[in-house]
Amino acid sequence: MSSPAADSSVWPAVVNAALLGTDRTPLSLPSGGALGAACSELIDTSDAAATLLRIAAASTVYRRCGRGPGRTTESAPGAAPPDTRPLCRPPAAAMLRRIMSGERPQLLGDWLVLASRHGVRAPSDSLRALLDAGRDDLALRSLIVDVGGPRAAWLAAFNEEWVYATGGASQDTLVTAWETSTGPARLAALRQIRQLDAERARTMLETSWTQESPTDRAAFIDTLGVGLSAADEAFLERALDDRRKEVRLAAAGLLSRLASSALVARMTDRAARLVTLGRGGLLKRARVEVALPDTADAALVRDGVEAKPPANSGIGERAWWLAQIVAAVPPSTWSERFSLEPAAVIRAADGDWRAPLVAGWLVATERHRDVAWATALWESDRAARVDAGWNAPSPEQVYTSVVPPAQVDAMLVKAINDQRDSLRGGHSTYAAIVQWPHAWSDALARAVARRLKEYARQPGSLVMQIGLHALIERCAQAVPVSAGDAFMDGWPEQADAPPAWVQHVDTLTSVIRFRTDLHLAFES
Amino acid sequence: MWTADTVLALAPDPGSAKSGRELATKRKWSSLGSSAGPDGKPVLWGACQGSGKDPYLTRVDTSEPAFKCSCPSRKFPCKHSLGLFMLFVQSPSDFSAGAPPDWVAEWIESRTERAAKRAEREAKATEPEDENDPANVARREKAAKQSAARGEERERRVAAGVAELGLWLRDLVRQGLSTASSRPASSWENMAARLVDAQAPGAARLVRQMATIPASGEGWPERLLDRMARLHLLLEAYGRIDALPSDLAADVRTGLGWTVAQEELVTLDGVHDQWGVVGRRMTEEDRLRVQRTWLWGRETRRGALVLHFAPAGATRNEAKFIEPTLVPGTAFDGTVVFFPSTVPLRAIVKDRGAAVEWSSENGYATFAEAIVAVADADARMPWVELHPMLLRGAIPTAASPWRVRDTASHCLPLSEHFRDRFRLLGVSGGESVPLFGEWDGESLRPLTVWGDGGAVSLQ
Repeated sequence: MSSPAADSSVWPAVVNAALLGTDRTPLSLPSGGALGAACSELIDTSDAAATLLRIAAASTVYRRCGRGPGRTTESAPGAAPPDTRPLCRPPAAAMLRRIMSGERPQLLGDWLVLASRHGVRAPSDSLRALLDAGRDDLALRSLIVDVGGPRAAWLAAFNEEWVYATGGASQDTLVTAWETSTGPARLAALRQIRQLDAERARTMLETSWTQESPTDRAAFIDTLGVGLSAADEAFLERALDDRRKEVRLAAAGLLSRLASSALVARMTDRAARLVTLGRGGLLKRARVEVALPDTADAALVRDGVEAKPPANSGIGERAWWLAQIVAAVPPSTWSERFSLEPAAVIRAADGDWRAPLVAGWLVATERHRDVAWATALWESDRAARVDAGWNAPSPEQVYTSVVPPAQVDAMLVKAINDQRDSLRGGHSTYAAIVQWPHAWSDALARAVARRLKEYARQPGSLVMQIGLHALIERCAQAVPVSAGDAFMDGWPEQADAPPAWVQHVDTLTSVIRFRTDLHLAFES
Repeated sequence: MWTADTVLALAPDPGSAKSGRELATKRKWSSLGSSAGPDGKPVLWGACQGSGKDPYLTRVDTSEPAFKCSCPSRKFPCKHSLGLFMLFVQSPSDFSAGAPPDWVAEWIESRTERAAKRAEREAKATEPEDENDPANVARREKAAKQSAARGEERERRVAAGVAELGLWLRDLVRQGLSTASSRPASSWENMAARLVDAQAPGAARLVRQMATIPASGEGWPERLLDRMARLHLLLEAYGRIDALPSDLAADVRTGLGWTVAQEELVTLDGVHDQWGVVGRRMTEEDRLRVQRTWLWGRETRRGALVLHFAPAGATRNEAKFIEPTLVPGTAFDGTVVFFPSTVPLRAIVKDRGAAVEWSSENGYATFAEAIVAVADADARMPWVELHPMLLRGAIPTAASPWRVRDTASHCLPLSEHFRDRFRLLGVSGGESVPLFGEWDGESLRPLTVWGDGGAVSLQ
């Protein structure tokens, strides 16, 4: 009679005998099964090893053939919520594959913007790679969450590296991460909660504040920069008394951005006593007059003023204090108080203390996002530049970050058209355009193309190559597809152009062609 | 008809593809021209200014295609050839039609001459010989004798190798497998090398595969004994090969390393069906790159494995497929011929007809059905290494242990070699999706999943 239990014990018996070796242990077959009976016919008493291998062959084949699929009692993961948007068209999917395979990784953002604009979803086989891309690049996250849709949010729930994409429903997940994780994961969670719910993030931070290590406090307080409002002031004001210097400075920096804060009022008071307008000389020209602060007292230091100027900057202590005080004052204060246009205030500062004043105004304009002052600083050009030691942004940085993009774009078009050397490395227009992160208008792209071709035709000049690489890279990213044609033709014959140009132009045209193909791939 | 994509597929590596794209612009070229070649397809030419003094002269015959360029690059086709070809595909109007210049005409002529010679040779080879010509009879007899002598010599060597391997396996069992884990790797490798010398490369491969098992973690004695026992069975079967049915004898010979000439197979009738390409992957074996392409017959409901081989060269792109036109998700009406076997799996494509649609309704309806089919094959022929499994519906799990399940709560573990787990999960969206994979008796290695955008190849 066949006994399944006896049959299934043949194989383990054979394995055991084989492990020990037939020289030591002879194989003994369990009795009673059909398999055992069949195997006993394979016995060759003269060769124990061959017998074992034969029986092993029979029983392993028996075992393999008798094996069924496993059974699971777990429930399936549950289906992803449906996504009603149409799938992107096959050419667009093919472009995504090319981008993701490393051909033009920097154009992933372009692909996502196009997909979002056309209301299509990404192919489901790309979601894993997209979620990885978002893990590594914060700037792409919101686009990836958008284009990935509910399926990406569903998938992200299974991998903790993708927690950023799990969607609003999981704000609680983030709070759990904040409460239970350590190190960078907590910081990441706090940063995301701050984006979703500024109030909640600050309350959480306040709750645990006294238990956090000084290093963590310094890292965490910076997250309040997103969604900063007057509601944060009380907390930040208390942080001015923190034991850790980095925390105090960060709190003061944030309060300096809140025009209604008590810190800004205190700084404005101090500044008003130090900086005044006088009319002197024969022509009664307006002059900004400066009395440097005498001491950096405890109150001043508490408000975030660093006592020591940067090493080797050649900057005097008192001038350094003045710059930091002015940097916390909304720049409109000065134009209103002196009844002068911002540009006139800057001109009137043309005395011994020009540098600390301008350095302060540059920082303050960026902090308070004052368009009129940003424009005035930009137009003042040389009068609004200070040495690097002052740690102030350049006028073009201030201008391009504060002024609305359309206005910056129009200004750049005008500057490029009016000034022959505007795109040479070192020119302020060049400096502005290479660090301005927005896409260009058609008019701006065409203006740039005209100038670049003009430069390419001037043989032999080395000057024109300085900074060319950065500008070309920017072109490749920023030129709209509508103006792509302006960059494709009309370059001098390559024999006439210096080799560096040939190479740059080749790279540029191939990226622009890729981007053109990318746009076409989304058109139906 | 050439497209940008098919032209780029000719590139020897991704760098060449990129450079080729960048050269596909009119600005880089002078004296662009085209004319109809000997068989009517366009021949292209152009001069490309490189870093040297003289421009490179580039020629492309779009029929085969064939390339010639005066640049010193050792890549083939070079970036200039690719660029010229791409440019033609994108904007043929940039090429002026006309008589080719001398440097092109000479090339066309030399190619035509060579083709004529080749055709002549081929014609001769297929020409029926004069059966009664005494010289031919003598030559045939001599060739047959030599071939028979070579065959007998190999049989002798294999028999000696088989005997030695049998002794070696039995020794291992006598001393106990527990000693196997302390054996140096060279002991396996030496045995494998002697089998190669004995002209039994198949047996050598099986020995090499066993060498890693003692270090493969829990359960290794079972896995090792399973392999050893089935190898021993193969050796014993060889000892009485004359008594075996012809298909089983063929399996034994294949297992030991004899190959079947594909020229003989082509003359057989084969199996006509609508064949879907359901999976492919590249592997490397004995300095060869091997492309494994799995087909599945719609009516015959069976898998067919087509292998393509290429030398594992240094400059070729290792990830590139040797036969790029068998794309998963596509299907064709045609005939494949299986190599003789009790469980025929390996096959060649004899006739590839029109492309047809492939439906996800093919394959096994349940996991139980798939496992029964595997068991049936294993019972008839115990040396199948990888079974094709086309599953109509599989739901991947979302965490370790990584598995797929069907709606009847049956599950199959996924291979530890399978990397694209989250990709598979993303394509499934938690729903049941058609899946193809290779089943090694223990776990499934998915190669293709069908999602909303069609077939997706997995790694």
